[in-house]
Amino acid sequence: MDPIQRCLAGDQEAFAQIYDRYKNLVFRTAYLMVGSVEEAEDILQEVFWQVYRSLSTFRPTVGSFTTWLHRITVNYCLHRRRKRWLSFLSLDRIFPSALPHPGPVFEEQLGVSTAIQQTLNGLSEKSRAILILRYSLELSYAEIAQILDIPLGTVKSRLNQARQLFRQALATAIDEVPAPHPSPEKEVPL
Amino acid sequence: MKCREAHELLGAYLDDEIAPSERALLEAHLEQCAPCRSEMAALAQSDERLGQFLKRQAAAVAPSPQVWKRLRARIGREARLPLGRLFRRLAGRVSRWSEKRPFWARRSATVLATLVFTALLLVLLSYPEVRTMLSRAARGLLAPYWQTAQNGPPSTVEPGTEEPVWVKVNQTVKQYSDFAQGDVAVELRAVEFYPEKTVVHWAMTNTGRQLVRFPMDSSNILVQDNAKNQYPVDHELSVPQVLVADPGQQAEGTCTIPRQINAEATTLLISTLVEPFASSPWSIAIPRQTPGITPTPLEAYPQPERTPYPSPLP
Repeated sequence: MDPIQRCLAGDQEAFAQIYDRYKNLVFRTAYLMVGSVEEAEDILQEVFWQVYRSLSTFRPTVGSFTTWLHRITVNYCLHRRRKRWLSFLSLDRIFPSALPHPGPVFEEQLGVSTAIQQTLNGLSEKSRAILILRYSLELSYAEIAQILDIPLGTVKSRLNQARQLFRQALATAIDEVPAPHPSPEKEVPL
Repeated sequence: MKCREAHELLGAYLDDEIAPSERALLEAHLEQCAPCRSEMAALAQSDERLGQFLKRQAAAVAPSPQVWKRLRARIGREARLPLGRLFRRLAGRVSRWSEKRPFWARRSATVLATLVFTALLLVLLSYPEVRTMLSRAARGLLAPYWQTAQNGPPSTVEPGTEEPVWVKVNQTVKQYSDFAQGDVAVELRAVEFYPEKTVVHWAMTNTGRQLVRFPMDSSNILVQDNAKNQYPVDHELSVPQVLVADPGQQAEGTCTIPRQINAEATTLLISTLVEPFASSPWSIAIPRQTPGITPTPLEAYPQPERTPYPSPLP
């Protein structure tokens, strides 16, 4: 039997299964939205609290469970009491293997990541939500429109605008990568 | 198709979200226009990098197990509240009903339900019996809340205020000298909670007769809390009026709190009926202490004069 149906029938273990199955999905979406692990954990708890309380209102005929879950998550992120959007770039998180051997490729990657992070920070939360739903979760335009409760045309136009911003930011970042330093000539012993 | 129009469609084209008619026009344009093809390649690369970046960032983090522990504790608290479960079921039924109805039907049903409910309530409230019954039902429904609301505000009793007392008489006293056979005993308790101890102010009356107070040895009666700790009973609560009720009936009255009761400690006035001197010790559910309370020492309060009473014991 489906864990959702079992949970509706009052089975507490089934809710634990639902949490286990979807916790990473919710947590990572929240993390990308707010940029802080601590805040994302708070959001994870609040989202599943809302799921627990309103599971009986979920209708499979209207949309999938994950769409419903994304809707709760994104809405909570957008309407939560605003905290500062933390913009940080943790090098060991992004390039765990590249750090010991920096080189031109690494610098280009770093420049690209910085540009992406800066552009993300500059976007409105709604546009950021659209990007995360599209590029991280790979949802269709229709699903994004359903989750955010906005027209399909708005999804398209916001996605286009954000795309152009990234396209320009990345082009600038790659152009600015300094040329590799020439290795010093070895001194020939006399 | 112009290049500007083509640029606006490139994103949807790459995402395979473009309308078939636009796709044909765009593909025809791309065949002829090298700058637009180059723009599409750059956009595809930018998309790929953005996707990789977001997925890498997301994959690097995971929630701590503490989140589930906190959530489970919260659910456990909520599950003890019967009203919460009732509302969830009701919400589910309404949601299922409204799913297949048009907007005007949902709106009409809301308005109609509100009108019917209000009219019914007004008619019912015009009967004094109904008002009394609703008042009793509300107290009965709220009873589980004070027992489980761990983080709620403490219920406080100001000195000298009259607190409502609601008792249900469902037992008769059969073996006590101060009571006649068949009399009904009503027991009243005000409970003070301190981090270090629990104090129970206790009094007893019998219906139809004068108030009786029992200066019994506290060691005779123990109150057991949820953690199975046992506390002696203090009894200094006065009941200035006689509550009259027949067995199986309910009686309402007031009880004056005779002295300062710690306003910071969770203080509850509860009432019940007991059969005195039952062989087993009493067992009442005591809510957990409200965290963060700094108690005022009991000694700081003036102690009322104790009137010696003859021992009611046979």
